[in-house]
Amino acid sequence: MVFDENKVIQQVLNGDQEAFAQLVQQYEKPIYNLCLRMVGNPDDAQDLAQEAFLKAWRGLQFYKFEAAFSTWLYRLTSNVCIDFLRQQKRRPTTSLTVGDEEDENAELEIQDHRPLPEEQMVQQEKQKAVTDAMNQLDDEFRMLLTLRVMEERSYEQIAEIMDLKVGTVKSRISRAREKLRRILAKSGNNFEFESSN
Amino acid sequence: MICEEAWILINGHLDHENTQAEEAQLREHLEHCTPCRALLEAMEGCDEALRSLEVEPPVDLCANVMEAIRQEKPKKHHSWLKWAGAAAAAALVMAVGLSKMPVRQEPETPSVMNARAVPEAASYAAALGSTDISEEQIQELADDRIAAIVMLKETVPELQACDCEELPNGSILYALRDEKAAQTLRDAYELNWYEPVNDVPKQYYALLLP
Repeated sequence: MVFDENKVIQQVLNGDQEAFAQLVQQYEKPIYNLCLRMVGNPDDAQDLAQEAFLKAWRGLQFYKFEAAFSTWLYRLTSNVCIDFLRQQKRRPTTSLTVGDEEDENAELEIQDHRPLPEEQMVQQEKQKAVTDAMNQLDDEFRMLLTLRVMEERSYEQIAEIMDLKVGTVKSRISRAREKLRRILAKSGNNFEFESSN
Repeated sequence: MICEEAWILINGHLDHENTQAEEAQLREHLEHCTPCRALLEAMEGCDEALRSLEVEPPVDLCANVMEAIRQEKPKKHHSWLKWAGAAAAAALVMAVGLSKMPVRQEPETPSVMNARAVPEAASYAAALGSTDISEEQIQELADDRIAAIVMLKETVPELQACDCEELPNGSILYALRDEKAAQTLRDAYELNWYEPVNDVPKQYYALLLP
């Protein structure tokens, strides 16, 4: 069944607060993942995702149907994350990048310490390398890559979410990718590529 | 095509934003440029690895959001008539000049004078002709001053040391030190935030309604 977003929003505006759960369920995964990539740890990400949805609920009456709801929600969430990062004066490294061996795989939430199949280990190493590299990017680059690569938002939508020009989005995504690749190359991971230029 | 131009098209390719002509140009370049082919492979690997980071949200996220909403219900979902009554009450309080009411510190307490409820109350009050305050006017003010503005309906201790000016409609505009001060105020009292539509704020104010 097709999810009729505007109809659900109207239901909420008409006083059916339980209908808001449908909007949460529709967007909880991308919103949580955006928060997780921005702040780097699951606990803060959950708090921020919850805060973003609460702000959306409180401010829904100000939502104009002219823009996509997803754009409005992403923009609101990005502001929540940026506010949080400003307040926290984000540490240069998060728990994801701490060199402590015991915490090394914390973000991957490995509960089972038995030896993993090689393929799975390679995959986890790759994920950790990318997570560490992402955490070394500045907030804007991290958000751009998350919105574009993970959330598959269009340049136009990202421009609206981040209040940038489309051309700026395009060029900064390019720079963000290049920076990510260089960080990964520097750490000697499998994506290493040495430019001939 | 030189490699620098190909790099732009490589990003366009990864983002599915290239035109057919651009894709053809890129293919042609990649056929004879080993470094760019390697770059494309590396970029594709990065993107793939990034996508693999996607996780499921916590199972209780939705339930927690809805529980928090239910707890806020008393102050958010009144009927139109209740809102009209709230607006009238708010307007009455404004009219008799009780702008120095004690600060309410409990954000969860249902109240028609809750800071977050002011835009709705002001909007309804405007509809009833009992006040000339509107969101549009505050937005205009933010645009004119190139300023971010947080809106208060009661004074708060943090404003005592701030420079201020009285506006024609009786509102008082307090100059805040910086963005951080404005954000702190907003977060502490859960205030509404207005900022210029087309500019980065150069100043920060708290607007105390009359």
